[in-house]
Order: sequence, then structure tokens, then C-alpha cells
Amino acid sequence: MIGGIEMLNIEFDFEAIKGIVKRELIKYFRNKQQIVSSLIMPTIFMLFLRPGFAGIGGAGSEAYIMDYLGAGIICMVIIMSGIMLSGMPILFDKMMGFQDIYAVAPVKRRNLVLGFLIGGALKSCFMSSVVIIIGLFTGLFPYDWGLGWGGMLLSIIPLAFTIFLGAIIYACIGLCIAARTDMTNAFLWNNLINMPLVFISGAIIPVDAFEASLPGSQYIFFLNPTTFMADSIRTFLGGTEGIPASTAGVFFNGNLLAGFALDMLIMFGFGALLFYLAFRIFGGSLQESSGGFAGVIHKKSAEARKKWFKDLPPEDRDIMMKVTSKVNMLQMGQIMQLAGEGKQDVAAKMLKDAGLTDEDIQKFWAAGMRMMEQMREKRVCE
Amino acid sequence: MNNENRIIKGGYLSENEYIVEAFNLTKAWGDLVAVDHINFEIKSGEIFGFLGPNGAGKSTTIKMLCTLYLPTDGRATVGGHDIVQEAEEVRKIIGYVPQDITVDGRLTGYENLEFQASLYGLKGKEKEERIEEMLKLVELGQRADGLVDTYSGGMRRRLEIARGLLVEPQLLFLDEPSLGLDPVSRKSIWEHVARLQKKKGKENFAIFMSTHYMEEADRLCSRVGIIDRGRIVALDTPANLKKQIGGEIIEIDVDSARIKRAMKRFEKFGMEDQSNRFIEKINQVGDSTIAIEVKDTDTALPKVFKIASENNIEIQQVHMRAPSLEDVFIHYTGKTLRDEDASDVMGFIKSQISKRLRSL
Repeated sequence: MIGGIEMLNIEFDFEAIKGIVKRELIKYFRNKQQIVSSLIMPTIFMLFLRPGFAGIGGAGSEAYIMDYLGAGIICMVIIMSGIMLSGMPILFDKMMGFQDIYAVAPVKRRNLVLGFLIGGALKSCFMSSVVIIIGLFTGLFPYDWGLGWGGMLLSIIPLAFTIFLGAIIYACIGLCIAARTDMTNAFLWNNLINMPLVFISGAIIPVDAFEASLPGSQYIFFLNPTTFMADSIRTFLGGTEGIPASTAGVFFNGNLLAGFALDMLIMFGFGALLFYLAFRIFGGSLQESSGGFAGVIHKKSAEARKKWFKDLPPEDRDIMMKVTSKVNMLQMGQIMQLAGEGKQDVAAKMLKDAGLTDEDIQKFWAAGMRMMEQMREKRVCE
Repeated sequence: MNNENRIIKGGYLSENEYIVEAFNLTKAWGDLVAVDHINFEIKSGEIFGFLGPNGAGKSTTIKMLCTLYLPTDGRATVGGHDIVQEAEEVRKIIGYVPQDITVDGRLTGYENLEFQASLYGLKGKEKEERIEEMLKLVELGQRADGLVDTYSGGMRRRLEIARGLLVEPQLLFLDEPSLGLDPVSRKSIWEHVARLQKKKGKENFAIFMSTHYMEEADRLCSRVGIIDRGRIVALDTPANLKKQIGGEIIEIDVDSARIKRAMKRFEKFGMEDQSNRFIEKINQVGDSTIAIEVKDTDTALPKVFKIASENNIEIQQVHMRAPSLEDVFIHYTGKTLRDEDASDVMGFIKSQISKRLRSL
């Protein structure tokens, strides 16, 4: 979890984050076709699917189903747009080679990840806001707590917070997918992850109804952050009192606020985990060298070095092994060059800095000279 | 400068304050070795060029130096910073113009530069001034507010160069800057690069470019490294490289069906006989063209004709010229730059056809 700890003392580079978010938003709002087409499905669901299902339910349950599905459709929008709108631009960047441009910039990888997360989440928030506004026309209002207009306005704050937190969670998933796949397979992965997130949750299917027909199944639903997001949205969106928000119903005897608090806590938990994954997976994919393991690469293994010096007499081999274990290959090259130019004193200082004694250095020069002789003879023979 | 002062973190800057030092730099993916233990240095103030065919390892080297790829072996420093251990420091002083055109088509030219500026922490007035200055430098001021999707190929490339320069790097990487451009745009890119070098002067600015156009390397670069199959086969100033192979080139056109035989004859009578040796090297440079490197054309030409007539080689055309960088490339690698891909493909097709014919 070292990465996790590093993640916490992040140095914010606000200019870079702002720049990335700005680019994402400009590109999103410039592409009108995408915005319109992605709003078609949720709009149809809002306008036709809900009343249709409410009609099947029969008298008395109509309002309940209308509100229940309303919150579910908003969850669906957050999930789909959260994953798509954060992942797709990255796939495009990858395909076009644009990713190299921000990968070579002196910005901490975490700031890049944050920029893309916030950009993606904001787009997703915009989408769900539009759907909520469409919902207003079908009678899906924020919960008024018996306080009228004031209560409704009050509900908007926790509602917005839930939606932003949810959008970040799904943007994290989008980044992880985009980091690990390409254009051709993106849709496949999108479906594979989208569908369970939407349908194995309390978003569309009531947890208690499913639990009643299949006891114990609610615990599967609880593995999905969507269940808690739907729960929280449902608490604050919908005019009917008495919708059994599942966490409140299951754990707090119907206390909505306690249920909301638990929902948030669990969503923060999921959020932290996915945040961490996005940092690791997307941040790591930005370039091969994320640093940190350089020493392993530049220090040759003892076996490899033994092979180089296998032709030398044993005492020479020992000193060569000792020197090459302390000095890396670039330094070695420079030492050789300096010695060749007659600047043994500078070369000796480098060796001394690397932790070799004067005696070792003397031995090394002698061995080096013999080695050079040997190589020269070889070349003459050839 | 004091010697001790020049010993820096993990590395050592030798006599001439190199901006890039590569030592045994290697990149391999499994068995495929793209860059094979190459060594070179770039001084501040020069335009250093890598010349080689596609797949020679030019872009891979640049990507390693840009901290995008992790070297498999060896080390390199940029501005004295290790490209692996001090990647963050390296990123601060480089500008990178990749081979594929990567400006964002959905943004305007100005917005593209603005995005780049934000990545490097530029803001406010300084940012605006720098962007304006760069747009002026590459002559895109008029079109700055148009979407990049509406730009021509040359304009996009110029915008990319502006983007690379926006952050005032000490080292600018240009990966095949004129690839896929028509001759006019190519020329304008060259002019921009040359003007840039002039403007920036000698202090603290170097360009590392890769190319497979001879003319580009010859005109722009102060030093050229010829790279083939991941190895540097020659490295010097263009003039010195040409001098190295010395003498002149006689090109003769013969019947393409008998070219192999003709080359063998010239080899036998012009090179193998030590007392009569006048040919330095013989290369095939086209389907029907043989390039003969000689010390002195005046005395060599009659001998070439003599060998030809004695061996029944019909010479269709003769052409004499001073060696170009292309000849240097052929001299070191034994193949032409231009035809590298084409000849391989044609060879493959020919072999496939003859296989089919035999099986009939």
C-alpha cells in the first residue's frame, strides 16, 4: 500500500488539473451530437418506461414505482456516462498518440489522474442533472421533508453530493478500463462492467423484493456501490414518503438520515478503493517508466558480470567484481574514459566516492591495464 | 570549471558539458532488439540528427530519452539527469514533437497551446504572451482560433513544433518532423527549424531530430548519426561523413538481369587484384544501377570502360558525382535508404511467385 500512502500527500498542480478539466469539457460541449444522442435513452426511460411499469403495478403502487424507477434511471445515467465519458477520451488520446504529450510533461502522474477523474465526473454530473430536470416535468421532485419548497431545495445539496461522489467512483472505473484496453475491446469491457453495476443493484430492482423471493440475495447487492448510491438518491429524490430505502430499512428501522449516513460511508469506502486502483492502473499506464525500480535494471546481476570477467586471472576477477558491484555502467564508462585521457585523479575520486579503498583502486588500475593488454593482443591475433 | 563540481548525481559531465549522454543505451522487447547498445553525446547548441530507415530504432531512442520508454540496459542522462531515476527533472527541460501528428483536432490552435502551457504550470499574462509569440514564430497567428481539424498537414506540424517550444526547452526532440508532408511544406518546416536555431543562439538549446530524408539531415544537422538495425554505424558532421568515404562515385546503368554478374566482374578486376586496385567499394543502388566508389574519377573511368568491354557488360548510362549522405549510408549499411521497405516487399513477392510457379 505504499502507493496509497504516497497518494495522500499529493502535491497539487492546480494549473495542470484545470487545464485537463478544461480540455475535457471544451471537447465534450463542442460535440453536440454526442450530448443529444446520449440523452435519448434516459429521456425515453423517464417519459415512457416509468409510467408503463407503473401501470402494470396496479392501483396504489403507481407513485411508488414511478419514484423508484426514477431514481434508478438516474443511477443508470451516472454509471454509463461516468464510465464512458471518462474512458473514451483517454482511449482516443491513446490511439492518436496524444497521451505521450501529457506523459512527457513534468506533471506528477497523480495530478494527471485527478484531472481526468474530475473532468469525467463533471460531464457525468451534467448528464444526470439534465435527466433530473427532465424528471421534474414528469413529477419526480426532490423530497420535501414536509417543508414544502424549502425542503426540496434542502434535499438538492445531499443529492448533488451523492451524484458527484458516484460520478467520481464510476469515472475511476472508466479510467481503469481505458488504461487496460484499446478502442476495439472497449465496448466489450464497458458492457461487461456496466450491466452488473446497473442491474445487480438496488437501482432498478428493489432489494427487499428480491430478498423476499431469494433469501440472502441482498448481500450480493451490497457488494455493488450502485446499491448505496441508488439508496441515497432515492432518499432525497421522489415525493412519496415510505419508500423503503434499503440500508435504512435493513439496518436502521426506516430512519432515512441514518441510512443516508451509512450509504455515504460505504460509498466513500468504495471510492477510496477505486481511487487507489485508478491511480495505480491509469497512472502506471501513462508510461513504462514510473520510476522506482531503476536500480534493479542498471546493476548487472553477479552471474552476468562473472561471465564478462571469466577470462581474467582470479585476483583480477575478484577486484573487477568488487568494483562493478559498486559502480554502475555509466560511471564505469566515464571512469574508463577519464583514465584514457590521463585524468586518473578524477577517476580515482569517483571510485572513492563509490566506497572503494585506495588499495582497491590501485588493484583495479593494474587489473584494468592487464585487461586492456589482453584485449589488444586478441585484436592483433584476429 | 572545477572537476569536482562536474561530478553530479549518479553521472559525470565530461569535458564539453553535453546535454545528452547515452551509454550502451538499449531497448528490447523479448528477442526484438530495437536499440542495441548505442553510445553518443549531444552538445548544447547543436542540431543532432539520427538518420536511418524505418525501424532502425530512431523513435525508440527518442522515446527513451523522453522518459516514455524504460531502457532495457545502459544509461543516459539529459541535462545531467538520469532518464530513469530523475525522470521528473528530465521532463522539465525537454520539448517533444512526436512522429505522428498529435495536436488535438477538436480544439483550436490556441487551445492546444493553452493546454500544453497548463501542463507546465504557465499562467496569466506570461502564458498568453508566450502563446502569441509561438504562434507568430510558426506563422499561425491568423488561424489560431480555427479548429485544428481544419488545418493542413503542414500547419498541424508547425503547431506541434510551436507546442514543443512553448515551454522553452533546453532540448527539443523532433521525431521525423517532415514525415508525410509535401515538398513545399517540408521546406517551410526546415526553414522554421533553421530560424529557430538562429534565434535561440548557441546558449542552452539543442535539437535532437530523427529523419530518413538525406537532404534534411544534410541541410539542418550539425552532426549526424547513421543508425541501422539499432546500432550507430557512423557519427560525424555531414561534411566529415562524406569526406570519410572519400573520392567520388561513378554510377553506371546496366541490364538489370545481368547486374549481379556485372558487379562480380567489377569486383574481380577492380578490387581483388591488389596491384590494379582502383575501386574502393561497389554497391547496387537500384534495379539496374551500380555505384562504384573510386578515389579519382579521371583515371578510374577508362578502367571501368575497359573492364566493361572486356567482359561484355553493356553500359547504358554513366553518371559521376560527389558522394552524398546517401552514399555514406550505403557505404556503411550496404543498402539504400529509400528502397529499404520496397525492395524487401518486392523480394518477398518475387520469392512467393517463384514458389508458386515451381509447385505448378
